[in-house]
Amino acid sequence: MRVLLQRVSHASVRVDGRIVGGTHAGLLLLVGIGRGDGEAEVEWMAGKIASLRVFPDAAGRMNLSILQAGGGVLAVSQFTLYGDARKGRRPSFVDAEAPERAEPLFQRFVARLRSEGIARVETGVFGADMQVELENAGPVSIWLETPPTGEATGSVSDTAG
Amino acid sequence: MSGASEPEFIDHYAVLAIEVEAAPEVVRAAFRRRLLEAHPDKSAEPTDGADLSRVMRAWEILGDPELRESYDRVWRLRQRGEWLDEESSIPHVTESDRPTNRARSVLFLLLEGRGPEALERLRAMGERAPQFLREHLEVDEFIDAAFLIAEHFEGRRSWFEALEWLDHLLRAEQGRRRHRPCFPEALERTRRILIRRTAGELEPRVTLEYLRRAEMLGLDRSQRVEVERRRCECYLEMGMRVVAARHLRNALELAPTGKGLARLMKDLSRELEGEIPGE
Repeated sequence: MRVLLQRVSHASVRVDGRIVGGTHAGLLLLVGIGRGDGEAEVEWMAGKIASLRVFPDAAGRMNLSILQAGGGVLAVSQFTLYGDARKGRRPSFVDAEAPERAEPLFQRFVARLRSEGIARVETGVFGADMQVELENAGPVSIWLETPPTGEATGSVSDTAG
Repeated sequence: MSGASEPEFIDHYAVLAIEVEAAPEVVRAAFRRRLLEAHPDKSAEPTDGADLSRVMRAWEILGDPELRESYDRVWRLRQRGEWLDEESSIPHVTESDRPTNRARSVLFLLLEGRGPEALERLRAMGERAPQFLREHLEVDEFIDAAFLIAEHFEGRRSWFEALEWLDHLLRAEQGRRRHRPCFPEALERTRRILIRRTAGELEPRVTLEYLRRAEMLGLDRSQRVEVERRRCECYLEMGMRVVAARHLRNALELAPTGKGLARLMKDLSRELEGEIPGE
């Protein structure tokens, strides 16, 4: 699973000129579901995003998570994050999950974000032709990818210190 | 080469008495020399017509660069197969633990038209079967194998599997200067599955994403009409009538009398009137 996270001062997604989802200050997430992703990846990613400190505190340092800063999230599914353009001129999407499996996982991901306590989570329309509009704040853009299978399950307790 | 067990395979290189690496000029020269030897009117020795027809057949294949290329691959495979096992019986080959042999056995079965057995082997390899074949076959071999595998899955209407193998094939073809002969067909089949497999079976949102993927492979005019019509149907199902009408207009622009469009025009008559694309 891959997410391109961007801190935004506002973002909206339109389908045929109509706004179907949007947020003021918060995060825009472009979400790609990879082949073989499952509940574990979704959970890991939602937890990571909820706790990632990318918002400024009173001193102006990136010290607050979206839960602490209280912004909204706009999540847009985007299989092109799995485009493989290493060779040739036409990207290949062989690593992206098939739409019929990706769609429910995307919905699960949105539900997880909500249950992490993020107040407002909006989405685009899965599969639709969407125009995404955003204003980067900062700008802060972070590339998130779930660790290889096995490590995202949480079964490996990380107590190194 | 004994070739006794499979009489249909003829070693054209042996017929012309040349090496497999022979340059085109060498093939041509060998053909002319052998033609003189084999021709009943030209030959010093008495010959029957069989030798002549063998020489002609060899030239037909080896004289044509494309035919020769595909023949060469089978030729080499058979060489290797016989080297691996004198009787060239596939089960023996595959009992070997060498991954190259295991991968190649799948290709052998496919080339021999034993698809179901090949698919059985693949299933035994598990989820990493495509990676396994990719690693242990030559690129050309992998592409041909993927094409044949996809064909079998398509025949069984296992669209997802067919699509997966076609996808691997297209990826392997990326950036190659010379494509395998099956490449255009593979591209076409991929588009066709992406556009059609979803008719009425899947959620409209899922169908929409398939259509986007098809679009990225490049569509011809009639496919674009079909994609726009399918989009219109999807959005209609989702209750997004204005968007549906926009896609219908796109389809109508490309094909004013396209199949299945009249019904949609009736359904969406109000939306079509509402916004005229005259901007």
